[in-house]
Amino acid sequence: MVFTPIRRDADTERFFESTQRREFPLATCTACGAVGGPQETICYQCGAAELTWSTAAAGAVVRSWIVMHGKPGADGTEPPTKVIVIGELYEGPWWWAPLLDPDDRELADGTPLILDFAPAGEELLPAFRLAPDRA
Amino acid sequence: MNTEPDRTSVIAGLGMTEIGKVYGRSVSDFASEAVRLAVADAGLRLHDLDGLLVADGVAATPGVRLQRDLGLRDLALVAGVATWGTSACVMIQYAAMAIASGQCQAIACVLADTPLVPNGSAGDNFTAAAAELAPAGWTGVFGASGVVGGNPLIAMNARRHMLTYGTTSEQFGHIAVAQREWALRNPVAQMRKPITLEDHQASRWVCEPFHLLDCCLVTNGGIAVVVTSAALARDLAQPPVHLLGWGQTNRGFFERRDDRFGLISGATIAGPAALDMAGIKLGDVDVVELYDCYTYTVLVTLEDYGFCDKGEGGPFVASGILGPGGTFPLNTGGGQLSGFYFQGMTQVAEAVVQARGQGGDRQVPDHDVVMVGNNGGCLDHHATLVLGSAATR
Repeated sequence: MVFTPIRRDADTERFFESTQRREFPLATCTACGAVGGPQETICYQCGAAELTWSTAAAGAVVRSWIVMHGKPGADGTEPPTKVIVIGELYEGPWWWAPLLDPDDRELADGTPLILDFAPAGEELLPAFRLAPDRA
Repeated sequence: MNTEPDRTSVIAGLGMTEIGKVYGRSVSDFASEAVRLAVADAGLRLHDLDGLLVADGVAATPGVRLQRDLGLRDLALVAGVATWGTSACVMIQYAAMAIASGQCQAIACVLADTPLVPNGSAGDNFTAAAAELAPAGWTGVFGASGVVGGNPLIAMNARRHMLTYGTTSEQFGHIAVAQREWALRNPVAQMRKPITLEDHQASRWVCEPFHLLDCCLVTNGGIAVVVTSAALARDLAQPPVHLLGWGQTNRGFFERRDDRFGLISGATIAGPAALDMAGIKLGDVDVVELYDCYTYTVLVTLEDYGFCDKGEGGPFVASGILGPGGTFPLNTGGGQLSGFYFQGMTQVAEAVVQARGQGGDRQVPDHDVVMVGNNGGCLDHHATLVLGSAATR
């Protein structure tokens, strides 16, 4: 299971409305033009309150990653690992999410990614895949 | 002649309960005992306290109800502090301000925790505490992928440092090995068996790039200090440890293109600010006690305080200067990696021991100035103390 179940609340309502449509929402400041992520409530750069919402193009690159290991069982076998990446979206904001279907290709700073979505209970959450043209 | 009492602040008492795998006691019980021990250590009576600051533990917290548990009345200051790893230094900073303003005469600052349970995984318990936030909200959005607790957050920072500066896991290992050597000389340290770099490399992955031996311990118990004025401390039981300077930086990362996430912490600002307040230079620091939830956290803070250049932390820690007998006394009680884990109180407690000259087998000969660094959250918070022994004044 990539995600455990999650429910929307007042802070995340708009976000989950977008992800249900398989869209990743971005906030553009009407005053200074800075592009922020879905968590923004005001412009992170200039503090202006008016934001317009658009959809990310879905391209990203790796900026960091981790491989999460579970505790080995009594017989020494390790549960499956999980790769989480920080993807820098084409538009600038970073997003932490699992890498779906990780393979043995080595990750690096700048490895190209594409956004995808995976279920988290009744909601959809963004995740990443390696961009296919990298093979 | 100036007849004003000296309201600069000192740490006059240090109390530590039995620590480690101590079961069957509540977090309030530990906190209460730690305060009583700190007060006794200072040579004060419990009812000399007129202020109480209480930090949140990771798994449990006594809260401000601790005043009742201690039977204290008419306190001039009570507050909870919850900035994760910086809570210890932050409490002491606010205590110093309350002493300087005359609001209080003697303040206990306490941190206790009970993450360890018999037959249970401490990591699971920490994670369970964090996961209570998970079902909703932005924390829940990230928690749903398993990004809960310190391991994934700080590992992500460490990877970025490695990618940018070429820092290696072996270099992190040098910190773990040196701190274990210090722990061998600390009678209360939880880990008392020597380790090698090979042991570090062979220890199981917890969250790549972190091996098990990159990660801090988990501890039940409590630690408290008593902060009072230099004027009052003059006649008390212990050598006063002067609060010469302090600083705090709460960064607010905006995680986007060109962010320096993983590359710097708030120590770049808080460290120099604390030294400025103390009126001293980095070169005047004799002993360094840095937050070490993970080996990486030590390395990045060394760079940020300016003990080495940015990006040079790896070669710096691998150069043979660390450990007992080295030229750079760092985390001299074994730290959170090998000593015990009470968030920022781990560093504060060892700094007080060293500044007083009470370190026994691990005492650093020159200990006039001790610099303490605390990190909280995902390097969101940083707090610094510059402490001076009696000899400094």
